[in-house]
Amino acid sequence: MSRRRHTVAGSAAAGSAENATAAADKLARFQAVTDAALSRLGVEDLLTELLNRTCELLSVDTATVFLLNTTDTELIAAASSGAEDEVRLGVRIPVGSGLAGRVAVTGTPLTVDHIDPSTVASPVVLESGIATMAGVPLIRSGSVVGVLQIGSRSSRTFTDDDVELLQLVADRASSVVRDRSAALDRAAALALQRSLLPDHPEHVPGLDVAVRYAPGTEAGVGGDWYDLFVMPTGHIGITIGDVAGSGLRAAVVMGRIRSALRAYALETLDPADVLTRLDLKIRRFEPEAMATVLYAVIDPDHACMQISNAGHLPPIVTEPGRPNRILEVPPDVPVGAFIDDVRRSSRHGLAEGAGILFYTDGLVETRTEPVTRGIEILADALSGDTAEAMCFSAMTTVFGQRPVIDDVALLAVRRAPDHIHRRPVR
Amino acid sequence: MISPGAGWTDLDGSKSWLAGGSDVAELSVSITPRTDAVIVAAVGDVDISNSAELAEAIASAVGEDKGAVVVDVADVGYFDTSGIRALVHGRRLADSHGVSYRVIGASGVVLDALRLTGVWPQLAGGGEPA
Repeated sequence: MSRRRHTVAGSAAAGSAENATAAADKLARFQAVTDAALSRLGVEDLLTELLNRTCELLSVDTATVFLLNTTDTELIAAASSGAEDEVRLGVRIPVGSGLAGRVAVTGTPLTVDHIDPSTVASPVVLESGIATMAGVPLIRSGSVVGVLQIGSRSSRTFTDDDVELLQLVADRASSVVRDRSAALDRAAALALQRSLLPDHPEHVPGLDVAVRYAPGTEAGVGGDWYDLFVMPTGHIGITIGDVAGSGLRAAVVMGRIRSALRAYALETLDPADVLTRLDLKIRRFEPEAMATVLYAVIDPDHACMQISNAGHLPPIVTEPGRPNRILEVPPDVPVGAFIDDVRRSSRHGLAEGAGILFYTDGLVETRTEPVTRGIEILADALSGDTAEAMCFSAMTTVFGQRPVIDDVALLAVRRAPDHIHRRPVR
Repeated sequence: MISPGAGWTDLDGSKSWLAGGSDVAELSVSITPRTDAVIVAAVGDVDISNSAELAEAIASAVGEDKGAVVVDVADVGYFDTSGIRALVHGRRLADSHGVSYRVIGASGVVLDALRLTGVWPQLAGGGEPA
């Protein structure tokens, strides 16, 4: 391992031949510890234990991991041994300031043997009696993601071997942090998805509704969503959409788009108008996002619906005694595509007993066949006398043979025959 | 050496959503400057694992300021929404640079995907099946 080394202030001692044997011994001990005992710990404990071992091995008083924030402007204390206050008090160090801040900028190890506000930015360190410090970068895929910093109360000089060992710990910490953030992202995305996609949407008398959401085996949770809500006028809004991308970021953007669409739905009953406003909002506040969305508004008497389509796949309609058909809803551009084009709404009748299946591309997309072919196959096979049966039929048609690779959202709605839902007015 | 902030790639993460397979999609993108236009030619499959490559190639082609960028997708076998986003983002970038922008050669699975998402008329720039 050869990394350049700088000193911030004062001198750095050079490694020597006799130190090499000791360093090799330290490395061996370190490897043994990381490979055996630590492998059974959870990621949180693992990071802390790694720092405890670092203090022991290098005979230092503090070892702290700082991680860069999402805008790469500040380092935030994430875990510590000996300087737990830095974590508890949420110490933030501007990138470029002090030892850790400079390590983050240069991506190279630094040492400092003169502690004052010009060399160290952390107020906790300044008041702790630390005399010498060293910091090395946490690097992932060629970029700095954080800094591992150690401090000693006794005046000592960190050797090249010390720094090399420290860098080894940092590399290990970097992979621990990566695993931790991946696990946190997955859990957060799933929690978000669950809270925004209820298993049982709002009950509407006269409408039979069923839904499905399946995370992809490869993609995990993504940006697919469905929504159904009743407006004060008695109109029913139905949304199906897909934010391009996957993971927590896509799920977060999905949540914002879903909320914004609901808000605009309360302002205007024209679906094209709602999607136009949504598009403007995304361009202004989520300029990196793009989503396909189909938004339908069902009349209070359930006999008709109005649909606007922002680049989404067409719903499939089932009617008693008639072959299934793919609803003609000409696609306008996706929201967030930054293309100025007029959005259209189209009106469609909804017969008694008719069902509509709204879905995302994970249901019909394969690598070899055009999507239109997948839609035709689904339309041919779709059956079911209830919304629940329609969802079951759609899922078994597609996923009877293959796993759910991309995430999938489905919403089936069926208009009950008139005699079932019309109750006498009291 | 601080990594760039959130952008297109952050939305994507790093994964492949192959239908029925586990190989990573193969994609090569070439950039060929001509006197009056820069040609970006993609060969292979475009999906979320590699759509950033296409987006970067288009961005660098737009950056050459030749007055026109043509994206050739004739040899693309598969295209998912992240690929569409890359093409649409390219158009937005070209617009902001005052560079004309056109996608050519779409057929089969690719043309199908572009039509279904309603972006084809906006990318074809005339002379292509609408």
